[in-house]
Amino acid sequence: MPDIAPKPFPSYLDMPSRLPKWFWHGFRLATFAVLLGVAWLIAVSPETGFALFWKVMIPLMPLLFAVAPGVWRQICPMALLNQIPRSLGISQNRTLPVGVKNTAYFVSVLAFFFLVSLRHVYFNKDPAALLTLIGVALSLAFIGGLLFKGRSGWCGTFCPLAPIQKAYGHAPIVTVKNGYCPTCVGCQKNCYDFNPRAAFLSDLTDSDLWYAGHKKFFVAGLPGFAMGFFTALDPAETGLAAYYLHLAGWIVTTLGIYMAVRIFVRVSDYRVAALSAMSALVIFYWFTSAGIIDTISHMAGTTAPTWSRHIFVGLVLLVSLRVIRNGLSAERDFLAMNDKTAQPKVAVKVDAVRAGGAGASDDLVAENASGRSFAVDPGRSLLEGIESAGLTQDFGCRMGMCGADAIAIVDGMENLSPPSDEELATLRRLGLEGRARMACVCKAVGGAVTIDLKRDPNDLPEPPEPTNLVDLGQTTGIEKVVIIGNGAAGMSVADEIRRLSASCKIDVIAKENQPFYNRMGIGRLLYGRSGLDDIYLMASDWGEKKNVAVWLNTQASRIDRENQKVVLGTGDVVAYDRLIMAQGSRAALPPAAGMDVPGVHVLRSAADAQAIRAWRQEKHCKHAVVLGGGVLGIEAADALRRLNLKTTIIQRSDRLMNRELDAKGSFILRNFLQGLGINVVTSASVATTVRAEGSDRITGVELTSGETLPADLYVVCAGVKANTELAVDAGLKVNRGILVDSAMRTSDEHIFAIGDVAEVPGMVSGLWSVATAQASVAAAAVFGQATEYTPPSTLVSLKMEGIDVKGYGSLETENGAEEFADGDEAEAIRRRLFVTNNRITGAVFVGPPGTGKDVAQAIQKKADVSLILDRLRKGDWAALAEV
Amino acid sequence: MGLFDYAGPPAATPHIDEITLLGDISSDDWNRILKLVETRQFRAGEDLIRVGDKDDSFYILTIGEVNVVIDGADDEIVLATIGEGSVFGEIAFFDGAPRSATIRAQTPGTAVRVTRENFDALAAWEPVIARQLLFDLGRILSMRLRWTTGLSAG
Repeated sequence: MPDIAPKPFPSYLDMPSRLPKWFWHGFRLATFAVLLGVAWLIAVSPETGFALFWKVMIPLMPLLFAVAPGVWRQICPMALLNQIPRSLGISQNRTLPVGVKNTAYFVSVLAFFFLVSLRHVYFNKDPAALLTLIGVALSLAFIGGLLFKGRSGWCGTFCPLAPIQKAYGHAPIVTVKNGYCPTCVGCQKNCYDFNPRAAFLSDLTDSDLWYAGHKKFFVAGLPGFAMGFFTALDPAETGLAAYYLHLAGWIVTTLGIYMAVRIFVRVSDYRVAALSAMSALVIFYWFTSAGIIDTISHMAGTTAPTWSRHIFVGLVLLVSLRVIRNGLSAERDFLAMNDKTAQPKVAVKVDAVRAGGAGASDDLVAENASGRSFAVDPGRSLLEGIESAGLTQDFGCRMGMCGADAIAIVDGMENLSPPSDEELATLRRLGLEGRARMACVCKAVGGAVTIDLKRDPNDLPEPPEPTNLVDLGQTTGIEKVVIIGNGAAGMSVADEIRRLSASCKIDVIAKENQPFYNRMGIGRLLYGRSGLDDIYLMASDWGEKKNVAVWLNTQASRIDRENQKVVLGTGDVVAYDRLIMAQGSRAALPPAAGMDVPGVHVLRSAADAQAIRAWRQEKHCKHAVVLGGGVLGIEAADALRRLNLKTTIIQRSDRLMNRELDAKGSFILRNFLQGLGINVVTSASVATTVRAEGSDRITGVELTSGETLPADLYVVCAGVKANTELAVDAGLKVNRGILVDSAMRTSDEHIFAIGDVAEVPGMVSGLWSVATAQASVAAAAVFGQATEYTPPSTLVSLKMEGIDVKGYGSLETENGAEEFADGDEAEAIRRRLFVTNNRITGAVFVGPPGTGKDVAQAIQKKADVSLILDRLRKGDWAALAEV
Repeated sequence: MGLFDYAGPPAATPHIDEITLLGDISSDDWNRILKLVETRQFRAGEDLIRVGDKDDSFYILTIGEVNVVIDGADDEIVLATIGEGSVFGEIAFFDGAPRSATIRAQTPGTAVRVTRENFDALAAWEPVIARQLLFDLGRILSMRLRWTTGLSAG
């Protein structure tokens, strides 16, 4: 935490008491006694008394006001009398009416000018008049104290000395703590005792311009009044009218100068006022210094040299400059502070937030495009760090497999965690090994890393190619490979084949009209603004660079196995030595009635997503129904929700993601979705779509229970169907998918099948990791290399913001697995782990973001968990991060 | 606190001029919130919010100071300075309209950024906290509105 700066404007409550109370009591009484003594002297020996009073005591007061006004406010005899009723408890403690509060100052200003002007007329020469003045002032101060609370009966309001004390002492060189008010009673506006450094500033900047105007009037007229007073001729000779005209002329002159400065110079009132007050001070001593010095030296029985008065004026000038400097710094603080205090303050318990992790840490990752740098918390991925830093980076699977978030590592590659096999495969597919990393899975382990989100990693210098490669195409005589499909399976196998043979001719026949894109990202096509740009997974010149011919928007219509040719829908014919079928699967439509009604959609391809987005806008849809509560259905529902549709998921099973999750995990997921406003209906089937009479499109979905849900958009995410037609026509063995052996070979030895379209005995899969693993096996098998497919860890993860859902493997203990579990519905977290022979064989992790991160990594690493079993048994899930 | 908020007799009507966002929740609660939101570190001079941008998030400043600035033809005009523990950007969080001013970091620091998306997740996981957060944000908005109304009236 930063040091707490001293308050720029401490109130007296925050000020230290430098001197003990008894000292001030004594000082007050002494001052009062001196006043009485001088009064007595005036009465008995007017000449000495007047000299002492008018030539020494009074003239020294302005200097005291400028240096330490607080001292005077403590010891002033009028203040002493004013405060007696309060300390005796006999004050009526009335509150000064607001109107009086606001005009009292003006009264005291007029009283000051008038009484001082009367010096030349009475007080300088008539002892009785002066003694009366002193007596009346003391009495009024006392009466003020009897009636009004605090110091509002005299000191802060009516006292004629108050204005001049405030003007000269607007920025005190020494502040003295107010000793009269044990607690503040809030008796007056902008109290000088309460906050000496801010009082005059607050007065001048008061929103009541009339109130502020009084202060300005006084301080502006003060130099003129001083000039007028000291240059006036004896009113006894000139007559009172001429005398007052003279005074008024001077007041008006400096008042005019003040106004002119305010009008023509861009300067604050406060600064002009400070200058005006200090020039009055200098003028005052210009005229009085001689008298002061002569009187004092006369009393001391000596004669002071003439130059001493110049020195005295010089000192006064220095004091004035010091006060002005103080004032400028006070004004700066005041303006800065007002900026903050003017607005209502909103506070957050910063410490609590910081303790929660939003504190400072070292910047380790520098991002070139934005010039921003940020830290990545231990255990978090680079992608999480990027997102936390407020930068945007596209992502896909968040498992390092899809390749959506390959980011250019400009520097510090060695400071990142080593890539997993999956990530390495992805980087190889993208040709980015050594130049980029998949942000979603790599972690910053130590040391500085420089990344560039806007830079195409392909532009970075290529690491040296491995040189010992044998061109398998040449050695095996396999010269022509045709691949059907440009999804994850098709493109991965194309890339792998090119890696094994530089010479082999590769044709990719793609029904898609888009280059290879991230199918896991199509949900974002629904609600996002950026269209397809974000989801392409390969540079546009990939085919050219790799010498792979990609035929987009081209259908393979027939396979001529005998002549090893693929006949295209365009009439072209492509010959092959080996054919790899990777045409994937399509959304399966359920047998329910009314699937041909406009408004029924599937979400499988980018084109599907674009069609749904267009439909939602054209038809001004309000209600969407998603059939299917699996990963795809939930992701689709989330995307539709973000399109501001009231969305319902219909799930045939009794729970969401029934294949991957247990009842508790599913329950938490369901609660989360419902919290977002997604309606979930389980154990339900759709009987038919509903088209209201007169409507040209879907208006609802009728369940078998008889209930009808409103819908102007119906998205079916109820599983997929392998695109086997081509294989069936060609006479290949087909079950649910094209049957393949462990080398991905179909019943025709020249033809392979991989990805969604392939059926490994007993298994069809729709997973990315399966597709890429099969692609590796097939690529090797094409060139006759013996490899055997082993299913990869198929961790299923829901790609949705705000929740972490991971499901993996088998949730059974029958095969001897040990189970670890915690969490219930109330806790909103579910962790369940199955371990067989020290390996994780099953898992359900549902909870807030980050819940399943560690287990996902442990699964992907195929980690040995034997060392943490004891900790897991104690419920220490953090142990998973350490395997 | 104003300079002349005399700690004297209490005013007739209690005057609230300070709101503590989620003042009652524990560090554990904050931990759970922080999992659902972004923590953004910034350097001095960096723009956290740019005028005209469309983005529906609000910020809680945990470390540092930021300025509300308007970029003039050749200089920037600082309208206000926002200190640690303050909340800003809440208007766009509610209405999603383009940002009305730029927020530029005066010092390096850290801010918590809460988007609508984050809030939705928070509401789903922690409905009680989310309700309180929304209520506090509403109070902040209404207080700032009162303040603005006071300015135009005065």
